[in-house]
Amino acid sequence: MSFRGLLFCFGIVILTPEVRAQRESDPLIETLLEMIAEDEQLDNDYSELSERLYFIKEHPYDLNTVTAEQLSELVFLSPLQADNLIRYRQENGPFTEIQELQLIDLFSWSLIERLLPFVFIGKPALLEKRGMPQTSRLEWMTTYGRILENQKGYEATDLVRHYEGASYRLVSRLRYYSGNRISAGLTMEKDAGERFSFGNGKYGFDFYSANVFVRGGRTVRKLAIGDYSLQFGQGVALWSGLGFGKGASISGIAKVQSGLKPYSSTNESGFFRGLAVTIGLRKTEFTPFVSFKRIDAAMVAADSLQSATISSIGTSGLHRTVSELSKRGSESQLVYGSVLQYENRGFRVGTLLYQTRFSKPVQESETLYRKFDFVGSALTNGSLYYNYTWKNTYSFAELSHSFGSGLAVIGGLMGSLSKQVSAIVLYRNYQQDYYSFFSQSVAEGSGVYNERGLYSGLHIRMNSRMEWSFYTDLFKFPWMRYRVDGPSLGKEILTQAIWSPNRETRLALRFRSVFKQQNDDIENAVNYLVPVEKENYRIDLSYKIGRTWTLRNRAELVRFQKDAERESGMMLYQDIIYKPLGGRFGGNCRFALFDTDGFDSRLYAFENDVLYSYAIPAYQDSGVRYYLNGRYRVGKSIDLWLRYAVTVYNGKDEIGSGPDLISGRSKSDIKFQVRYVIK
Amino acid sequence: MKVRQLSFFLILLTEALNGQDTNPGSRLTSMGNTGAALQDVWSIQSNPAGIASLAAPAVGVTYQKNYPGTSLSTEAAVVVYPLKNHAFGLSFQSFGFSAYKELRIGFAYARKFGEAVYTALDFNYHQLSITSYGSTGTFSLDAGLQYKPSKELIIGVHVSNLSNSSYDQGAGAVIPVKLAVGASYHFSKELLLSTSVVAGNDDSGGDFRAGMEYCLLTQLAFRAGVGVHPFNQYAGLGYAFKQVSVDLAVSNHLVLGYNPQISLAYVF
Repeated sequence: MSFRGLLFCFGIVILTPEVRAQRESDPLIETLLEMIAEDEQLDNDYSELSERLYFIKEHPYDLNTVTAEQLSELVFLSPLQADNLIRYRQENGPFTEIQELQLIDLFSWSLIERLLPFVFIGKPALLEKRGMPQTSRLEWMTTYGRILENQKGYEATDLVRHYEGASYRLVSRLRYYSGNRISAGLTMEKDAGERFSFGNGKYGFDFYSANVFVRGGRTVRKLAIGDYSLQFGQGVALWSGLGFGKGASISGIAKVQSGLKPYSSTNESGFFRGLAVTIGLRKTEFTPFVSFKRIDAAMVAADSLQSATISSIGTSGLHRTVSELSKRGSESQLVYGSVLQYENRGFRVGTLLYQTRFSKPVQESETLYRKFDFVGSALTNGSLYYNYTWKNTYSFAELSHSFGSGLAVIGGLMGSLSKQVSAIVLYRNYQQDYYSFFSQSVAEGSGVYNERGLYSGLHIRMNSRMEWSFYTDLFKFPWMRYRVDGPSLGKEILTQAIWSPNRETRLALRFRSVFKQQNDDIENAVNYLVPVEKENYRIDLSYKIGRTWTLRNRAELVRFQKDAERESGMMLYQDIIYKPLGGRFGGNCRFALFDTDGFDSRLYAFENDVLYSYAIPAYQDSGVRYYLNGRYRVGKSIDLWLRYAVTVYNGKDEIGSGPDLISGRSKSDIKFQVRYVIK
Repeated sequence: MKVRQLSFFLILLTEALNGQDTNPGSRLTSMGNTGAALQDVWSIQSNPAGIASLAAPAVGVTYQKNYPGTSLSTEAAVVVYPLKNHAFGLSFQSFGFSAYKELRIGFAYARKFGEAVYTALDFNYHQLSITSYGSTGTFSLDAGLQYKPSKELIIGVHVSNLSNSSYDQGAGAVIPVKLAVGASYHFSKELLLSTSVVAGNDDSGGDFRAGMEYCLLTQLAFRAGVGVHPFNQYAGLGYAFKQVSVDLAVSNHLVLGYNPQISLAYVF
């Protein structure tokens, strides 16, 4: 205690947590999500993560009771940092001052600044039993969006590829929270082109997802009824929902599991529907689960030689055309299994076993590169994993087996080598015949199979103003892949330097280079492999003017080369963000110019959107894009958002293809969102 | 087809060799071959200015097995003798197999000015001999500079083959002119990081390299590094006991595979 007293006497920088009264879109969370989402370039649904971060911000964690798993939900904390915080608390007793965070290993000023909105220090001992007053909250949010131009699929000319429904997208979400322990959610969605009708076995929306989730019990630590996600180990065997791969954040490469979670996304595949529970007995946890849901499957009809089989399983969740509708919920998937794990002082070991069963067998693919894909009607996966924090190192590994076929293994070591430097090395080896329907792990290819690789990364924080990260990844694919008719290899290099001379200004430089092998473009039964190289150069600048205005710029160049054929592209944009403190109105806009030679030199950029929504569209060909987002607070409990975005292409008279075709050179969309909150 | 495979292999091999024509021992190799701003007895091979920092005479030998499935190997030996502000060094390196040998013999003179500036010149003799084709030889000159503005930081620059020497035209082998600029920084007592940028006139393109050394104990060090072009990953460990040190290294080339290496050094 006296040590702490001494510390404050010497006047460590006094941290003043900012007033956390705002409930509207939070620039910090937006920046965080942007940083995470930027690296993924996938059509992930970030709404779940975003919602969770907003929720934690409103119901912050008590530093004196928070667990490592809860901290892992704050995606910007590395597992080592989370464990350091827990260890500090174990060794030094409960936190009494927020300033103590500065004493924890690996907690830099900027990290603490990020963490502050999500934590507080609870009142000690006596009041603990009564806890925080239970606040309940009901939130209803509805989003309507559509593309303004006419698309070919909505005209009545093409019957096969005709979109059966209206061109708008409608999402409605209902959430109820009672304190930090009980939550319930209902998500309803109709994609653009899907029908919205009642009767004849139709129930309005195309997709419904609901769940009730209870957490925090002594024995029944978590209980999910309805839709849920499971995230265990390093994701080699069992990881559904959002997961991250390689990104500029070096420490993010180690996966930090969060176990059983409620599912609230609008992604229509890759989740569980049924019942799951986590039962805890001291340091041991047992999670049995069962899930049954309809899946979209394309079928091969029965004939005299064989009974009906599944030829492919759809994951897009789109049911717009006659053909898509014919697959809708045509078959079913049953998943059941359990996870057993033990945790003690920074050490965790677990094992899991589960089976995925289909109502009809999945047939073998005719394409050679998919020779090792799953075949049959049931797949059993088993896995063994661990992670361990020891001094300034964090190590983790997972070994998984798909019964009757292959093995997959991943292992890594992360260490903070000095106060400023941390390094990581990660090895993976997924056999070509390994398979799992719920896996998400570090991979260059499209899934957790057919890949070997070694990743090594370095992060240096020179001082509070400058940081530099660098990683290289070497990968080999022992079997063929899509458009690669042979075993192939490749490498990736990313380096990024960030300079923030003060709190309001941030300059980032990034270089990324990827080398791979791909089939040549000659029409042949079998192709030779040719080298494919892509280099991206990026400069980001963001600065704040006064308290309400933020300006952001990006310039990015890309060079692509496949054998002798070259493409290049560029993009430059200006963002203006207006956010008055406590004002009724806020908004942001972008003006972007882009010019790329084609598909291979397309560029991705994160875009601001209405609350909880995030988009990372590709900027391809050449033209101008701008968008405008506005938020207006009607009253204490009602917020409105409006978004308008348009791209005008140079020298095009039609955009897109197939049923999405638009004649003309511009494509624009609007979005309208309303949120109603009762506390 | 056989010929095609062989020529493909040879092209890759030349590319790889251009990247590592002098072998700076296991320690510097496993740190991503970033010797431009590092100082030890093996500096004579990577940036001879570094040998002026030595306080006592030292010798070192190394052996590297090059590329699995070939009989190629590299052997090298170095001796350094410091004398107040001066240092003298001898180096010897051989690469190849029984029918093909590249030799490099060097004499280095280094001088330090205070504890901040280190300079060196290195005179080399190169010889290439191929059984039943004969042999050819030439002289070359290297120069190096290291600047140590603080105890933690070293900035180094090294030019190899400053004289732009070459073998006879018919030899078909080149001695590239190379410029390496690098920096190393001691982040703590345990951690040393080192980087360098290397460019040559042999169409190999520029290379960026990074390496690190982490001393778990005073005697035991772990090392790792990468080079991006050609793409190499390195790892190694070193054990020093009194005056003797043993260093192991392994480098992994994207296409050509693993090269293990061992070095021994003795400080008098």
